[in-house]
Amino acid sequence: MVSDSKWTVFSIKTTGEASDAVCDMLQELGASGVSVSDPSDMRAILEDPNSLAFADDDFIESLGSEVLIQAYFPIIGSMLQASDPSGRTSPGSRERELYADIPRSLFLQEDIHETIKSRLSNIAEFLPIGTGEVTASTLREEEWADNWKKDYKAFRVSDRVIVCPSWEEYEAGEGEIVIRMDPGSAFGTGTHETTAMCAEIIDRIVSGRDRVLDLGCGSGILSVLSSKLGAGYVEAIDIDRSAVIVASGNVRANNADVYVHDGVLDDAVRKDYSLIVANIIADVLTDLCPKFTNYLAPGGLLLISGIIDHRSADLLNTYKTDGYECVEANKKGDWYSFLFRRP
Amino acid sequence: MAKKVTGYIKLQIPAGKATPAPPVGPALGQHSVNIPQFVKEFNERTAKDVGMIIPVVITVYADRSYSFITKTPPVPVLLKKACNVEHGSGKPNREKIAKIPFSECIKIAQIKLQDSNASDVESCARMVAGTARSMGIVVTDD
Repeated sequence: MVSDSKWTVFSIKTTGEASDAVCDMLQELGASGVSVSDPSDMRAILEDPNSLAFADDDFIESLGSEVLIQAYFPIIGSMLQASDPSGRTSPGSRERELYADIPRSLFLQEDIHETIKSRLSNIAEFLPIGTGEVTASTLREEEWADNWKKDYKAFRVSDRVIVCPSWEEYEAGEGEIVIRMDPGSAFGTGTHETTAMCAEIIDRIVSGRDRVLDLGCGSGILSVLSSKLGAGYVEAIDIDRSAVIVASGNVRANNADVYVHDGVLDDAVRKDYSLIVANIIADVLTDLCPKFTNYLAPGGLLLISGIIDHRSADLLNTYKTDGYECVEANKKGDWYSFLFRRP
Repeated sequence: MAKKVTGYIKLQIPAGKATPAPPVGPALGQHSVNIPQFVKEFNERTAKDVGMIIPVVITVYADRSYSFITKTPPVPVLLKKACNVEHGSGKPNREKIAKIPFSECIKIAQIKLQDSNASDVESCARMVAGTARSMGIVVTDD
């Protein structure tokens, strides 16, 4: 869901030499984020002999030579919010950790604009800053938040299952199961390797007798899929409340039967799941390893995913040491998933 | 497989803590990249560097897929670390906050050379020294 959040964007034209200094100055003024368009970065990628990237001449010409830096300040009422940069960069300070997300100060746009110009002229005494032109514009979330959806079309995620975005039409063929997904701000469009590997396995193994827990459900895609495949009981949990809202919407849109709630593994309702799916990240999966046993029925299956390749060996070892039998290991791109059986 | 580039962007965002808010959202949204997917991948790949601002260059291809590479920390971050200060000076011509020998600028240049426009360590070191001075750090002759 797109909010009505707005930002003021200060755009500064400068040189590659001054780029880092200008970015640092903007972060010290409290910009909530900085983006840089430096043509030399792109040229380096295109000229790298090991790169498979290429581009049209028009695109290369359009890069120009100037560096464009953009700094974002959230608009609160008629003022701009500047955050405390030390709150982000000095995690050792307990006080700053506690208060890092609280607005430090509100300023008039004109004042920040003038300060940026004045700081730029300071930098210009020591580095070539080019034109140093500063302009301000307003950005609304609706202008960018939904753009990527234009390229998200219906696709086959496993043998029988088609994932179709809620804004697309799709006529199901014989034996096909269509699930409608609106991932919103939650992870899980089904296009990512980690989600796709889980979907393929769920399509093969889930039946009417299953009691499924989807831990870290994100958009709810794997819960909806389990329900559509006929699982007797499906529960979806996410620590992120906004994911719970998105997942609940997707469950309703698919007339699926899934109990969605916020929380962690300790908040799971049952102790006898026949399948637990956890598409999270390696660190969290390592921490959860000793706990899963308490929630799986004897002989139950545990499907873990979201494991980047350089962490896979350690993670596999952790689960084997804990007595889990590895039934299946899969790899797609840089990502691994494992299917374990509880002893 | 050769991949046709249609866009690119460099962001400076906190390691392990990217969110769909700016600068990530608008930078990726304009190229139709799946924003939540990028956020998850970036946070996973940079989780070990939490507390650092990490430059990341994102390349967008014609099929709307993307790749990204993380870069060495920005020069001001390395300078602040070398001088053990938290902030640069807002008035670098009048208020000096630290000193750094030029030999240290060369060390930083050696780290940054691969990611900079400079053709050699010496010109990169001069850029590092200029950045130091613009932050109120006095560069000394060792």
